[in-house]
Amino acid sequence: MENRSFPRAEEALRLLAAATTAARLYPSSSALPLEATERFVSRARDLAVGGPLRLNVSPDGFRIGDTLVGGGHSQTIALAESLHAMQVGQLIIAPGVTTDEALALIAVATTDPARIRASGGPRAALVAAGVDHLAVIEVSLRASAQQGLLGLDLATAPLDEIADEVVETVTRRASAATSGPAGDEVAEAVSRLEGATKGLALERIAAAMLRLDEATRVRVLAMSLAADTEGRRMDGMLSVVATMKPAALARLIRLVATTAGTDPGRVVGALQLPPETLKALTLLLKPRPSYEPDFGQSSEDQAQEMAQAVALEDDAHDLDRQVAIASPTLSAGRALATATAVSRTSVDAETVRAMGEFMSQAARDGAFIVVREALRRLDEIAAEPSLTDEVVTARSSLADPSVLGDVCRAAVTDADAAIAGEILSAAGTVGAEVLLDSYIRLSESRRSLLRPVLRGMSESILGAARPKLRSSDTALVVAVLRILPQLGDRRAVAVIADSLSSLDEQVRFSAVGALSMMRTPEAVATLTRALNHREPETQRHVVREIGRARIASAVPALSRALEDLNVLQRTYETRREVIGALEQIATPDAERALRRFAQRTFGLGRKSRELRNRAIRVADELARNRGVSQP
Amino acid sequence: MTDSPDRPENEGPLAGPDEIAAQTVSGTPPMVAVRAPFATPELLTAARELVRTLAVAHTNAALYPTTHPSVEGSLNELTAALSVLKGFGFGEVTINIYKNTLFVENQVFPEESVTYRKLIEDLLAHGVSAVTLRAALTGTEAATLLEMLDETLITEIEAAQDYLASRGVSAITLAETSTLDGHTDEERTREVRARSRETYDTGITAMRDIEAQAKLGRVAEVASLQGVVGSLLDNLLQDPAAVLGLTAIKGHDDYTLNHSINVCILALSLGSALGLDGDELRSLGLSALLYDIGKVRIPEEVLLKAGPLTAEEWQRIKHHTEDGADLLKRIQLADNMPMIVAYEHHQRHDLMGYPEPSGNAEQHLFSKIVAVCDAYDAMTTIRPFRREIRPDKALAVLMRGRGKAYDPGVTKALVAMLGIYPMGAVVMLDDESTAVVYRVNNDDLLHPRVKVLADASGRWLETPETLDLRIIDVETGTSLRTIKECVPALDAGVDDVWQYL
Repeated sequence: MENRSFPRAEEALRLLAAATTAARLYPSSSALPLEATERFVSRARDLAVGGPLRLNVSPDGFRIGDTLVGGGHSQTIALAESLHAMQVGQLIIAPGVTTDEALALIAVATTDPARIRASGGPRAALVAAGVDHLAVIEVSLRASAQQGLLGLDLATAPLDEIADEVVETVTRRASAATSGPAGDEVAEAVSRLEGATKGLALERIAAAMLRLDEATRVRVLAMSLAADTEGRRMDGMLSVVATMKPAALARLIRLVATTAGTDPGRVVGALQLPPETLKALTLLLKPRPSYEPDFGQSSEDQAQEMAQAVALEDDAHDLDRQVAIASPTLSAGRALATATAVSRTSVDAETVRAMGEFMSQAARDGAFIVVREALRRLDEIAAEPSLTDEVVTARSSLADPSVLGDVCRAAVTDADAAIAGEILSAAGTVGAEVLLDSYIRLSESRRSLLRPVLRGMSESILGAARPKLRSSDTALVVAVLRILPQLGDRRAVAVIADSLSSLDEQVRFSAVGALSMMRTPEAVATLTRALNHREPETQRHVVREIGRARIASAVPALSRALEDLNVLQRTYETRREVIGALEQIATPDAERALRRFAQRTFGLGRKSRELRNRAIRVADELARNRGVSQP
Repeated sequence: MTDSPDRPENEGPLAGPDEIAAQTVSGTPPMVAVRAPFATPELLTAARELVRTLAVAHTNAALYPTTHPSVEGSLNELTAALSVLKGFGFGEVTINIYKNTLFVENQVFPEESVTYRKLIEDLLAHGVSAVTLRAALTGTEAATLLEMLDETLITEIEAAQDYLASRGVSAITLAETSTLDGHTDEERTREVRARSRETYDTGITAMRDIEAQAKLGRVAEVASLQGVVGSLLDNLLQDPAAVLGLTAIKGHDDYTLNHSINVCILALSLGSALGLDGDELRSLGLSALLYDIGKVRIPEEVLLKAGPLTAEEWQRIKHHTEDGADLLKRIQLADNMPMIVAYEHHQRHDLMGYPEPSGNAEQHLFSKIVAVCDAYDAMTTIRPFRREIRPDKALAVLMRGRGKAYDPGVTKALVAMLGIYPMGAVVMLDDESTAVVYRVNNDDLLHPRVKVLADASGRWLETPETLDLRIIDVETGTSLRTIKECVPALDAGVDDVWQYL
């Protein structure tokens, strides 16, 4: 019995001691002793439900094994003292104890020890009172003056002594069995005992069997199985054998069967075994598995080989690596992958919710591929009408700016950054806003790393950009204008064009720069229209950007601007910039536009002449560079 | 749980020497039985060199005065050897003599036990069986030790200690060794053992409840299991062997429940040996309890089928990983790992298992740990449809599966933790007696500590005799008793191995 039963045993003893004290203190007419006894009986039944509880009795209290139980309780100690004074060595509480039996024990415990001993002892007193589920074992090795097993106290006698007597008993009986009916001393010895100790006696005889050498043990069982002339086996001994633990019994049966040249099943058939034991024996008596590997080497060689392999530290580095990344806090991506995989065989609202709950952390951890797969799977699941709302909720778990900020940061360093775009995209406008904010916070050199992320997000970014472009924060607007050309979306032109009307010159210039970067027909058209911007400096910036970007398709518009007669609209400075832009574009069309301007004569004044001369010089230079002789 | 009978599927290290020493000094044992202190060839060589230099110095001091250049030279070698060990983190090293066998810390040195017999005999003759040398040891102090050994009038430890103390030696401590277990507190050991067993039984009950939940369609409440894992960890901290020994409990009737708890204990012990922290261990423990929960969806007649499975039945069995993850997906707020481990534990190290992995993602470490522990416990447990495999063979199967079904490092760590002959293994000794392994010696996996249950004639002893198989015969330098072979406990007639551990 393990320590865990001690408190319950302690309580039962306390109740028994309390009932004994009540019996001493109160008259028999009082209900108190009976009530106290009933409380003990109730607890004792619970306690002994798994089998008899055996308590050793000593002057200082009761013990289970070597452990003192109830040592701090004075009434319990007093009860132990009383029993010990009657030479009680053990108290056994068996399942099914009744109130009458408990009252009989209490009556014995409250009687003068000398009177009890004089009248045959406490054991005899209990037997006389018909007590079967409570027993006391007196401190005595011999139950009676009889010889052999019958003379031993099976509850207390040393196992070796019991073993010796068993061998003699069985041998005598075997000898007698060949010539007539043979007695069964084991059965007789056990039958003399009260119910509570019969089980104990059988177990002790079985334990004593193990103290014999194996050959003798086998012989004892074999002789017990032999029938006498009336066909009776030694059932008492077979009852003992039946209480052996399954493995020990299986081994014994196997050896007996081998010795007798018979099947173990036949030996089993001769025993009256509890169903559980029979079931266990059936399994244990099966042959050893043929699949047990021997790997073609002796057990010793195999053991040596394993010890040598274990001593090598060749796997230590890989193991350290795995330990370093084993934390459950790093497992969101794996969890999402698992939930996504599960969703392919079993999809329900719970699965979708689980995916949603894993998704944000997985994205934060940079598990972009996994998140992408999950998003795609959610797209598929969304087709199921009953799950559409769950899918929307799951996807919305990504619309957390802090998560998306992590996605952006991870994207800067992660080779699968493009996938982050899908995640940000899945988060809709929130994703785009976060991406824009992240972009702005990055250094110029790292912004380019976000380009892959931008792909495929133009629509939502354009949506998020519009309100930002209306901000009074120049730096913010400028940063956004630098992002928009990278979208590669012609719809960005209209958004950028809105900034051409900004009151902030830096914003207008940035818009011009953004358009020049795009170079799409729509962007060029918008730029050329901006040549007519109301603000001259902006016009000039447009011209400079067209030149810097060498947009050849803008030459006609530049030519028109150069020849425009409206001096208020086209200042000297503007025309000079146009000539410079045409020089940078350096196409035949540009040269032709310059010569056409140079040939115009209605421009009067020093500045006009200067511009024409400049146009001629540039045109000649262009012609020379192209290897064309001057006209 | 391993699915079919023919499909098989782990005390260990990790504290540094100083940590181990600190733990020993403070009285708090390490999480799991500590790896042999000289676990690497370099460390072993350094320890061997320490013993050699001490023995040489002792021999030289017997021939010459301690001021002689030969003695001085060997004393310099001794202090140099100590410095090398200091470099490995040993602030001090104890040379123990236990039953005539020489140990450095608890690492046995069989050959040196014979080669340096004179040193051993002289130490014992002076009442000394443990010499602790600190890194600050000087040649003068070492010389004083040798001079003491030359004093024939000193025969008691107290006199030997006084000799050194009176000469101002502070870097050497002399003591008597009665056991290599350090201070064993029997009462505490019994308490932890009982508490561990109680936790084991509580775990069975909790698992039964969880299975009931699972059969109703979901597992949402795992607080009781988290409590079980927490208790097992607490007990593991106090007495690793008491907890690991519980795995010798092999429930025949409630295999699934016993197996889950056993795998949990093995996984916690292995995880601890690998250096996982408390939170990680708690997560691993919970995962190890729940990894096979998907099997509640498999009809019992398929699960317990003795004969070969049909393709359909096999598919049904294989699906338990996905079913398990499906059942566990909603406890993710508490922990993601049970779901992951339930899903991955049969994928194998080489990813040739099931379910088919997506991409090239390797199994999570927890899945690998659970896989190998599952396999070991499954193989060593008798089932209604097959017999058990004895522990050494089961470990050999696992070792053969390294790099294929099982992660090589994890598998070796399991074997290093359990030993070649694990706790609870029943062995036949070279004298034909039957014994049970009750402690693994991490410095010598082939020579554990055993309790002899029955003599060569099959007679069971009244009280099992304890033996440390590392102890050598001083004449031959070989072990006094060795293991002839491991035998199946049930075939040897040993019913409840746990009671002997």
